[in-house]
Amino acid sequence: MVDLIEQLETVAQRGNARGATRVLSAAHGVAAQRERRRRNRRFVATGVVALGALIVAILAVRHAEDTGDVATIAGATATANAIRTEGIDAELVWGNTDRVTIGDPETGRVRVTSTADRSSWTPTAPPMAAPYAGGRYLIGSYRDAVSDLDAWTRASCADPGCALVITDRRSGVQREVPAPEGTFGFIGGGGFSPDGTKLAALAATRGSLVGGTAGGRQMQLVIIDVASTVATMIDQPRGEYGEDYGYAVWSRDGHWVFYGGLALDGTWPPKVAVHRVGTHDAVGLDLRPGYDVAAVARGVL
Amino acid sequence: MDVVGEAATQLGDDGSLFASLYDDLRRFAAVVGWPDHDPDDLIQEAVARALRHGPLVRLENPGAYLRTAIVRLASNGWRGRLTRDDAHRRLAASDTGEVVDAYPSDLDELRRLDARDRALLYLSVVERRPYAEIAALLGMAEPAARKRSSRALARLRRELTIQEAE
Repeated sequence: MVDLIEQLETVAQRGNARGATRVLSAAHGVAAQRERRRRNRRFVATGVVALGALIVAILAVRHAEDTGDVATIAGATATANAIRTEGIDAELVWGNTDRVTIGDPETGRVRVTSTADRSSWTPTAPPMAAPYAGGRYLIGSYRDAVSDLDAWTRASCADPGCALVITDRRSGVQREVPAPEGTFGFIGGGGFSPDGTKLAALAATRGSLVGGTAGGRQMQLVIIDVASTVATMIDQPRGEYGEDYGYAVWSRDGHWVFYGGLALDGTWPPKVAVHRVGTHDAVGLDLRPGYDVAAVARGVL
Repeated sequence: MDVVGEAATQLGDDGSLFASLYDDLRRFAAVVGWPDHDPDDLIQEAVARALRHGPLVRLENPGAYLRTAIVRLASNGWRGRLTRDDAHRRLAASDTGEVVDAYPSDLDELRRLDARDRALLYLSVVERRPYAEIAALLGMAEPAARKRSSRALARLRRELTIQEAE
C-alpha cells in the first residue's frame, strides 16, 4: 500500500504546473469564445426561422391571390368578390362586405374571417330583386352556344298561384312552370345552375307572395329541370323571408345551392340553408339569413 | 456587458477560490488524466464547462464539481477532442518550451488502469476520502466504488507480482 501511495503521489506531481491564474484565465477565454459561438448560432437560427416564416407568408398571399382563395387569410376579405377554390363541396356567395363567414354545409361549423360588419350584400347575376321587363322579377339568366335563357315571374305575381316563365330569347320559345302544388307560387330570387340544366327558384309556402304581411312568410327551395320544366320541392328547412324575394346561389361545381332570405324578425329557420343537388332536402347552416354572408369550400375550413 | 467583459469580471470573483482548489485539482487531474497530456488542460476544460453555468463561486461545491467533471472528461474520450480544440492550440502556442511529462516508466502499471479506477484509488488511498464521498464524485453507488477499488488494487498487486517474478 505504501508503494501505491508513493506511486500515486509521484504521478500526481508530474508535469510543470502552469499555475492557477493562467489555467483559470485560459478557461474563461475558452468559455467566452464558446458562448459567442452559441449566441451566433442562436442568432443565425432565429434569422433563418424568421426568414422562413416571411417566405411562407409571402407564398401564402401569392397563392391566395392566384387562386382567389383569400378567405383563408384572416382580415384579407374586404374586397373578396371572387373567391374560388378547387375541388370544393361548396362555393361562395359573394358580397361587398368586409366580413366573410365560412360555413361547412356538412357539419354546420362556421368561421368568421373578419368581424368588421357593413352588412351590405349584393348578389351576383342576377340581382336578387332585379325587375324584368314585362314581368316582375328576373330569377336568372343563362347563355351558351345554343340557348339564351331568362327565368322570370309575371307582373301579376302578387296573387297566389304565380307561375315562373322560362324564355329562350334565341328561339323565342316561352315555357311556363306552374306554381308547385301547395304553394302560393314563385317569389323573386334564384338562378340557373352553372351548366344551365337546372334552375333554383323559391316558392312561397305560407302567407302572401309579397312582403309586408305579418305572421311570417316562408319560402321553399324548388329545383326545376330546365328541359322538362319539372319542379321538385326541396324539403325542410324553409326560409322565412321579409321581402317578396330571397336568394339561391349555386356552387361553382353545381353540386350545392345556398339559399335564404332576409328575415329580421324570423324565428324559424334563422339560418342560411344549403341543398345538395340530387337529394330531396337541405340543412340549415349556422349563419343568420342576412345578405352579408358568404359560404365557401369545406376545404378552407 | 459583452461576453469577454463578463469573463473578466468572473475571473476576479473566481480567482481566489480557484487558487485554493488548484493544487489538489492538479494532482488529481495528473493521476486521472491521460498520461501523455498535461493535467492543466484537463482542469482548464473542466473549468470552461463549469463556467457555462456561471461563475465558479456560485457552485455549491466547486471542488467536487470540478473533480467530477475531470473524471468524466478523462473517461469519455475527451482526449481526442482536446487535440482539435482551438483554445488548447492557442494555449499550447503560448506555452512553448514547457514539456509535459508522461508517467514515469516504472509506474507504467498505473496507466493500464482506466481513468475512473485511477481516480478511485487516488481519492481513497492518497486523499483518504470516505467511499460515500468517492461514490458521489464518481457517479456510482458506494458498494460499487468499494468493489471497484478492491479489484483495481488486486490488479495492481498482480501486475507488481508479475514484474517482481520476472
